[in-house]
Parts: sequence; C-alpha cells; structure tokens
Amino acid sequence: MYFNLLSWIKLHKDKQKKFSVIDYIFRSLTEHKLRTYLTVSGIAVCIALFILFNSLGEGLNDYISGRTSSEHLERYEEMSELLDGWLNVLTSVFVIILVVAVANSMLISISERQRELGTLKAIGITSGQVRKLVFFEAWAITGLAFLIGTLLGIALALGCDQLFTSAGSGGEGLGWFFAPAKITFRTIISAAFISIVAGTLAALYPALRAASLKPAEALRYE
Amino acid sequence: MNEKNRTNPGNRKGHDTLQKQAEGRKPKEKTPLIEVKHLQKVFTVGQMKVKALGEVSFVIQQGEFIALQGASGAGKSTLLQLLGGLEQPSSGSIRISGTKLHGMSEDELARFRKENVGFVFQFFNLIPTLTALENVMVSRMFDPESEVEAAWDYAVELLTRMALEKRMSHRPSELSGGEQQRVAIARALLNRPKLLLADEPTGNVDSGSGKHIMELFKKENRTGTTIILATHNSEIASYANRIMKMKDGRIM
Repeated sequence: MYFNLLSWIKLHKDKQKKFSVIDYIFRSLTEHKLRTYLTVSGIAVCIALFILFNSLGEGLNDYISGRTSSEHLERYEEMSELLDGWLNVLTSVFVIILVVAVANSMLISISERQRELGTLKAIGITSGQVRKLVFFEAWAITGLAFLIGTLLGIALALGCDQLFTSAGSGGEGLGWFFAPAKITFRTIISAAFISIVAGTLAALYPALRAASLKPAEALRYE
Repeated sequence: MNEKNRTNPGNRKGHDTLQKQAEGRKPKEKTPLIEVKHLQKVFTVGQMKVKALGEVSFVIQQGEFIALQGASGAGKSTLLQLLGGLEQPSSGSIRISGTKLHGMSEDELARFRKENVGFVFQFFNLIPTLTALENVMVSRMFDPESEVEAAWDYAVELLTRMALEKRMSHRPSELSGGEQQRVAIARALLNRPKLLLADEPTGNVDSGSGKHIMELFKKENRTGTTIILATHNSEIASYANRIMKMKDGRIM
C-alpha cells in the first residue's frame, strides 16, 4: 500500500486530500538534501560496483568455461572458485559499507529530530509506528540508491565491455581482461536483495532507539 | 494577523459544525472527566530525588475550562504531562472518562492520547518540513485512505476556523508565532478530543495573538471540550472558569 508509486507522486497535490507516512518521509528526506544525496550516492556507487564486478566475473566464468578442454577442467574449477571467493569478499565489503552508511544517516536524522519524534508520540503515534517510520526512511534511501546504482552499474559494465572488446580486437594475447561482461538477472536481483537486507539491518538500531524515546523527555530536548 | 479574517470567522459551514458538535457533546449533567487521587511525581536527578508534584487530588468535570496558575517550577507542566499520559506517576492514580492511565503501556497511552487528548505546547512543536495543513494531519498519517480524506476536510475546516485558510500550504518557518500556535491548536483539535491540554500556549507569542488564541480556546470550550491550561500569567488565567493555583508541586 505504502509503496504505490502513483499515489506517492499524487500525494504532493493538495487536491488529492491525501497525507500518508510516505509524504512525511519524502518531506524529511528532501529537507536534508545534502545528507540524503551523500548517503544515496555512496550506496549507489557500492551497488554499481557490485553489479560491475559480478558482471565481469560472470563474463569471465563464461569465457573460461567456453574455452576449457576436459583436461583443464580441474584448473578451471579452481579459478572459478577463487573468483567466486573474491566476489563474496567484495559483496561483504559492500554490505558493510551500505549498513554503516545508512545506519549513520538514520542515527543523525533521529538525534536531530528527537523533539519532533516526541511530538509525534505526544499526539498519538505509537512506538511501533515510529519504528515503521525509521524503517520506511531507510528503505526509501536504499531503494533510491538501488535504482541509481543499478543504472550506473549496468552502464559501467557495458562501458567496460565496450572498452575491452574494442581493445582486444587486435588479438587475444592480453588475457582475461577480454572476457565480455555478462549482466544477468541474478546479479540485479542479488543487488536488490542486498539493498533490502542492508537497509533493514541499518535501520534496526535507529528504529529501536527512536521507538524507545520517552515523549516527555524527547519534548524537553533542545 | 489578518483583521478581516479575524472579524469574519465567517466560514458559516465551520460555525454550524461547531454548533452541532456543541449540541451533540454537551452533557446533560456534569460528569467527572478527570479524577486525580494522591498523585505524586518524583524525578531522580543523579543521586537526588526531586519532588515535582506532591499528593495532588482533584476532580475536573466535563466541559470545564481550568487554568493551572503558578510560577515556573510549580509543577504545572508536570501535572499536564501526567494528565496526558506523557509521564507515569510515581504514585497515585489518574482516571480520564473512567479509564485508569496508570499501568497502561506506552502504545495504549499513545492510542488513548490520539482519541481523547489534544496537546498545545509553548513552543508550538510543529514539524518544520510539513505545511500547516500537513502538520494538522500528521497524527493521521498511518490511517487508511478513506479516513484520511474525511480528516482532511475537517483539518481544512479547523484551519479556516483559525483564520488560516490562506496559510495552509505554508511551512512553519513562513508563519508568525501566533499563526504557528493556531496551527498547533488545529492539530490538537483534529481528533475531536474530550480534553485539551495547553502548556503556556501564549508564552511565545505577542499579546495580540495571545488574546486571539485565548478567544479560540474559549470558543472551543463552549463546544464542550474540557480545557486545562498552564500559565503563570493571571490575565491569561482569567479566561478560565476555574483557576487552580499551584506552588511547589501542590494545589493551593
């Protein structure tokens, strides 16, 4: 219900007589533009690099498997495992960066808005709803970063593919760099999954902290 | 303040709704809305225990307009926060409409506040990123669409009643202190609360706006809403039907 794109756009027209949590989050994110841009672009770069490396890795795997005779199969499998290992390490690094970036942004946002959260609680917003606000905000950041990062990642992978293919047209003596990038649906889904998981993990602590605020104490906050 | 708007609260539709509301809600006989017994609040500051409120007992009937008058530190704000369920008492009990606040969970209290209590703060506490209309609507942001639409119409009506019909799409930073406080009053009234708690509502506005705000409270009280207002100003307190003087955490 909350992530209906059309209603999200329509919400900004007063004639619609609609005001929901999406509107509240949108206003909050656009108010702190610099922080939102920095967080979203940082995460988008991580997602783009994830897509780039995975696409190059998939391409390389395909390239090697297509050219490996049965006697070299064992060596190919070793290489493939090594490659997968490195990709897993890279993925873990990206997830950590994502979680830290989003959690940091959310914690700053919550400490800046203590009085606001106290007011919301005073006028009837429950702790569970405050938790939802924080999670929705984190998912909005990672969702936007995923869209930008995916487009950037695909562009980078295609760019690398183009670059390496044209560089290699003179011969094949330069080794694995000539493997064409392969952008798969699985890579995109993995990036989406990582974004959701990272967004959720990052929002956990800030959400619990925001929900546990005592309204009277939060209202006294200067 | 736009004089034309003030003298012409005009919106006939809003006025009629106000009247109907008053007829529907005015009790046939006075019934206690609030029953407070032996209420105490002690804050712990480091190693020290500070008694903010000591052994307070009173009854407030439905439809009353009460002023809690006292100097700074007398316990007015603490009492308002206890009555609104923002703080838990150290001992004693509070009943509002027969519902015992003591022992309710945070979420139960939040729901209780949404349905029964409106808050007006000294520093308005409007959300800076939202427009005046959205600020009034903010407590309904999790509600289903159908309910939001009805609340939206009422929010527009309330802001019109507050003479803010031309300021609905303005953010708090674009409004004067008096206008911000009237938005805060509209927000407090959106859910048609039985009880309106106002903590120094005129403390941060000029005297003209202060008088206008008090007139609005008076008008709202005539519709049957019980109002408890904390102030140190005797002129402001004189708008109330009953004055409860507070000193050192006690009612005199």
